[in-house]
Amino acid sequence: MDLNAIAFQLILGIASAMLYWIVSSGLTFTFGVTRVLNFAHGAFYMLGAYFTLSFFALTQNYLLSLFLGAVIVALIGAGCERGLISRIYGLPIPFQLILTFGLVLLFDDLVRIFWGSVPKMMPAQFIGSINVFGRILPVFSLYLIFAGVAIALVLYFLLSKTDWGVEIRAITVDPETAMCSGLNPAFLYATAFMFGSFLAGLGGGLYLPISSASPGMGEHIIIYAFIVTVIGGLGSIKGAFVSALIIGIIESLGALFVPWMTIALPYIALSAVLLVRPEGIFGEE
Amino acid sequence: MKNESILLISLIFLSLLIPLSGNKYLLYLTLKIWILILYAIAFNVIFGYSGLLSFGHALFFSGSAYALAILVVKAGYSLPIGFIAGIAAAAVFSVGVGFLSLRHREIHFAMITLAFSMMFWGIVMKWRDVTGGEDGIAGVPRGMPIFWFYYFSVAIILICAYIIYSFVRSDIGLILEGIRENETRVRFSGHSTLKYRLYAMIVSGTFTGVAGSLWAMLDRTVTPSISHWSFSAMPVIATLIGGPQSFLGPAIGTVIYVIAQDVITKYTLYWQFILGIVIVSVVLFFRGGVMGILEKFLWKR
Repeated sequence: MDLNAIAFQLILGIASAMLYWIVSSGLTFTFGVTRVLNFAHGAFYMLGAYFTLSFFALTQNYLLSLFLGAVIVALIGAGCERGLISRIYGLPIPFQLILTFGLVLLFDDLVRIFWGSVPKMMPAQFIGSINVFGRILPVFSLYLIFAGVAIALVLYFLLSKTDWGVEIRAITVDPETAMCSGLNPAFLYATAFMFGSFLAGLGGGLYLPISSASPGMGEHIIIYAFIVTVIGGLGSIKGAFVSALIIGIIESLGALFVPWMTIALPYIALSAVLLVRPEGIFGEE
Repeated sequence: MKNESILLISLIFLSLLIPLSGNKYLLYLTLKIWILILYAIAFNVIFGYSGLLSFGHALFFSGSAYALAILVVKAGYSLPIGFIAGIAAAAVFSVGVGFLSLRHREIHFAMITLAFSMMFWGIVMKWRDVTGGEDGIAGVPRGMPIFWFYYFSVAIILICAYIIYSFVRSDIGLILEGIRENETRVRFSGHSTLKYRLYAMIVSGTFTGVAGSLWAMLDRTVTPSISHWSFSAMPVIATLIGGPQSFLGPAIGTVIYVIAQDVITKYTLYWQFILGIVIVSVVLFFRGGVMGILEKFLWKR
């Protein structure tokens, strides 16, 4: 096994880690604020992919479609929060998981109705590739890494430098005091959910140049997002970034050294972390 | 309680007549419902009675089914040995998973059970020599004609259901409900909550294994779909529709779930859409499930 192969695999691993990170960041952020673990986050990811696809057919501009798709998904997310999820705040976790699981089934079939059951591809984008360590690396992998880091920076800026971010953090840490100081929880929860859904939609759109969109694609990613979120510590954005990297790298190196067990590696990592540190790497309590 | 008993006995009696009708499809469907009822009732020992949401019961179900199929089809053991070994495998799995997961609560419990079951799914998919990978294992024998297999299975399921019923009505069951409502208080009264939860896990996992072994014989094939996490979601949904707070709730939920699926898929491809609406409205409006509605409006106790 030469070092070049390992370094190359590492880059691929980081690229797929960035996709996990973008999706998980939205999940863990929404959970941190609203304390609802949203199964439908994967469905929003799927919707993001499909809306991006449709906007691309109209505009032929990938970046614009990506943004518009994520915006639509954010609006759908806000609608779900106001209409359904806001009614179950404070209920036991099983009810939240199951209600949002119901949404997954609903959205899966809605996609089948509107876009059909056959997986859909976007016309090839970013066809270029570059030569890294003597191997061919699709140029999109680099864009993905760039997008992941950019989103991390935007999240950091939003949460630490803007009024909205400070208010969100206030209501996360101590909802009662935050409300007493005049913050509007309904507005904050709805916008937090909207933002989380936006990130899910973005993730779905960013997946398109890699592979096709299909109904049920959200179910695969949501399991990964759960794993990443739990390993990082529920509600911890920093944790999601670190654990997404861990999972992505474990998977890509695993494909090199132990290909027969790659499929089980994320679950092994999750079990190991939960047994040693149940609250996750950056979790509290 | 009287109403429940009459309803229950007449339903059981009705289902015993089904094989006599000679309709193979109906027989197959009814037996499938029976097996899934056992699955849901066993699952609810951990969910409804102990207050822990397991998202990994497919592990016990498919673990037992695969153990049976591997021993009988691949290793050539006799069917009774395979049947018993399948159930034993589920028991062993439940002890293992129980030890590792029961220290956790709520989301973490759900996630770690999910992780273990998906680990098993990964092994099943990849270890082709033993499990047959994606194709699964075909040719599991039933040991008898399906007519008799039906009565054999129903007898076993009724016995298992009775054992589970005795378990949740026993002192242990009472303590489990106590732990669900207020763990600290039960601890103060000198009980090891971990020990009782482990009992619940073993009962739940083992009887799920019985259901899994019966399923393998009924279907005559074992495929990875029964170890995928979506198969773990099935009893969760059925229990929620029926009502987790009563013993028969999961059974009623399963009957509704399977029949609705069977009927709806005949008319539309979009059965998930309707199921989604049902789940959302159950959580928003009828959190007690069907049993909750019955108790509230019909059988005012």
